Amino acid sequence: MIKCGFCGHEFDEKDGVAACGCCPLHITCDKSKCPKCGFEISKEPAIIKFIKRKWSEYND
Amino acid sequence: MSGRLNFKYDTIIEDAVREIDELLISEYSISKKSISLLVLQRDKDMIDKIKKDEENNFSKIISIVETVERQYDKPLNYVISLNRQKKIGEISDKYIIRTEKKENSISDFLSGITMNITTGIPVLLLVLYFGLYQFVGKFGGGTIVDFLENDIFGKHINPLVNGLVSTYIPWNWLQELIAKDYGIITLGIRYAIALILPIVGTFFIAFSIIEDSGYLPRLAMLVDRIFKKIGLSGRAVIPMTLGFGCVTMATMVSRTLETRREKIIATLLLALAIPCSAQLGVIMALLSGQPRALLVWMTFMVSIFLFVGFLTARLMPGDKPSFYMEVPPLRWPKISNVLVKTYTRIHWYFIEILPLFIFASVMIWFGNLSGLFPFIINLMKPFVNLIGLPDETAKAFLFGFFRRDYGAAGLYDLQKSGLLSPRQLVVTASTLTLFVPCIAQFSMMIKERGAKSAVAMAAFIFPFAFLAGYALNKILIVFGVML
Repeated sequence: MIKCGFCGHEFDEKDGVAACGCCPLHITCDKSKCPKCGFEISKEPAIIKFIKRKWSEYND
Repeated sequence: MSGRLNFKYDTIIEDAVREIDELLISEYSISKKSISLLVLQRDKDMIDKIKKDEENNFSKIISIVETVERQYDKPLNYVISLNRQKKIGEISDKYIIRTEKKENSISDFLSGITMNITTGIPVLLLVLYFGLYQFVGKFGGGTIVDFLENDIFGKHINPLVNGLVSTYIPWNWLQELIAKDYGIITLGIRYAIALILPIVGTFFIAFSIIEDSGYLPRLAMLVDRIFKKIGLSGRAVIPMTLGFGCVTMATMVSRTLETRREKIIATLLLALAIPCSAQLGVIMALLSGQPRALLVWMTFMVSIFLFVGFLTARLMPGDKPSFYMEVPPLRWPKISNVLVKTYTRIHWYFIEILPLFIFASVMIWFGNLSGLFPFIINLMKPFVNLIGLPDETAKAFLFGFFRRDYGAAGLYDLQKSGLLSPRQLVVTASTLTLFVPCIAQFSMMIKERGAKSAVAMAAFIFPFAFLAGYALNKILIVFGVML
C-alpha cells in the first residue's frame, strides 16, 4: 500500500499507476499518482525493496 | 435495533429539493431526492440525463438551481457537504467518546499555527528561507556546485578531456562535439552533474522533508483564500507545488482541478511563473550571494503570478471553485522516507535530463557548425539589448528555448565570467523564468488543454516575458534600486 504525502489516502500501487498512462514522462518516472487528490508519490525503488527482502530473509 | 435517519438540509435546500422533485416525471432507479441533490450540485452526468428525460421541465429545474445558487456565496456542493458534515458531527458526538491526548497537543498547536493566516505566512517564509535559500541556494547551489564545478570539472575533468581530444582527435568538428566550449562532456554533462545534480538533490531533500511532515495540506488551507482571488482554490496547491519539481508533470495534475476555468488558469500560471526545481535551484545559486537581487526576483515573480492570475480570472467567465479537505496529522519526517523519496526523484530527474542535455549540446554544436546558431543569436541581440542586457545573454536565452533550466545554467557561466551586473542578472533570471519551461511541458499543454489553448498561451508567454523583463529593467533604473 502507498500512503499519499498530501491527503494521507492509502491506495494500492496499481491504482496509482493507472493514472499515469497518458503522461509522456511515465516511462522513466518512478512515481504513483494518488487516485483521490492527484498528488505524486515516489514508489519504493527496486533496490530498496531488494535490501528489505534480504534483510527480512536474514532475520528469519 | 435500526432506525431511519431523519436528515434535513437547511430550508432553502429542502424547498428546492421539493420543487425539483415535483418536476421529475420519469421513473428513476434512485430516489428523486438524490437526483434533486445531484442536480443542485451541478453533477454533469445527472444534468445530461434529466435534460434528456425531462425535456419539458428542464428549463424550470435549471431556473430553480440558479435561484438557489444566488442565495449562497459559496457553491452548492460545498453548502450541501457542510450540511452533511454537521449532521455527521451530531451523530458521532452522541456515540464517540473523545479523550484528550496530551502528546498531540504540540502537534495540534503547530498545525493551527501553519494554517492561520497571521502566523502561517511567517511560518511559510521561514520554510522558504531555511529550506530554499539556505539549504538549496547557499549549500547546494553554492558550496557543492563550487566544489564540483571549479575543483572537479574546472581543474580535472575539462582540462583532461580537452587535452585528450586535442591529442588524439585530428578533426576540429569532432573535437568541438565532445569538448571545448559547447561539447557533450564539457557543457552537457558538466551542466547536468556539476550544476543541476547538487541543486535538484538538495531541493528534493528539502521537498521530501516538507512532504513527509504533512505541511503541504496545511499550505493548501493557508493559500486557499488568496488563490480564490485568482480563480483557483487551495486544491491548486497540488499542481503548483509539484510544478516546483517538474512543470510538465504538474500540468498533467492540473486535470484534477474542479472546473475548466481553474484548469486553464493553473496551466497558464504553471507555464509562466512557476520555475522547475533545476531552474529554481540555479537561480537560488546565482542570486544567493546578493540577497537584495534575490528578493527583487521573488517579489517580481509573485507579483506576476498574482497579476496574471487575477487578470485571467476576471477575463474568463466560469464557476467559482470550492475547496475542502481532511487534513492528515502533522508528524516528524522519517529519515528513511525522506531518503527513499529523494533517491527516487533524483533517479527519475537524472534519467530524464541527461539525454536532453546531451541532445541540446549536439543541437548547439550543429547550430555552431552550420552557422545557424550565430545567426539566431544575432537576431535575438536587439531584443536582449532592449531589456538592458549585453549581447552575450542572447546565448542563455537561446539555451532557454530548449529548456528553462538549461538557459539558467547558461546564465551561471555568464555570471562566473563577470559579464552581468546584479540588475542585469535579475532581469535575465526573471525573463527566463517566465519562458515556457520546455518542449515536454508544451506537448503536455497541447494534450491537456488542446492545441488552440496551448498555442495561445505560448504566443502570450514569450512576448509577455520580454515585456515584463523590459518593465522590470526600467523600474530598477528609474527608482535607482541598488542591488
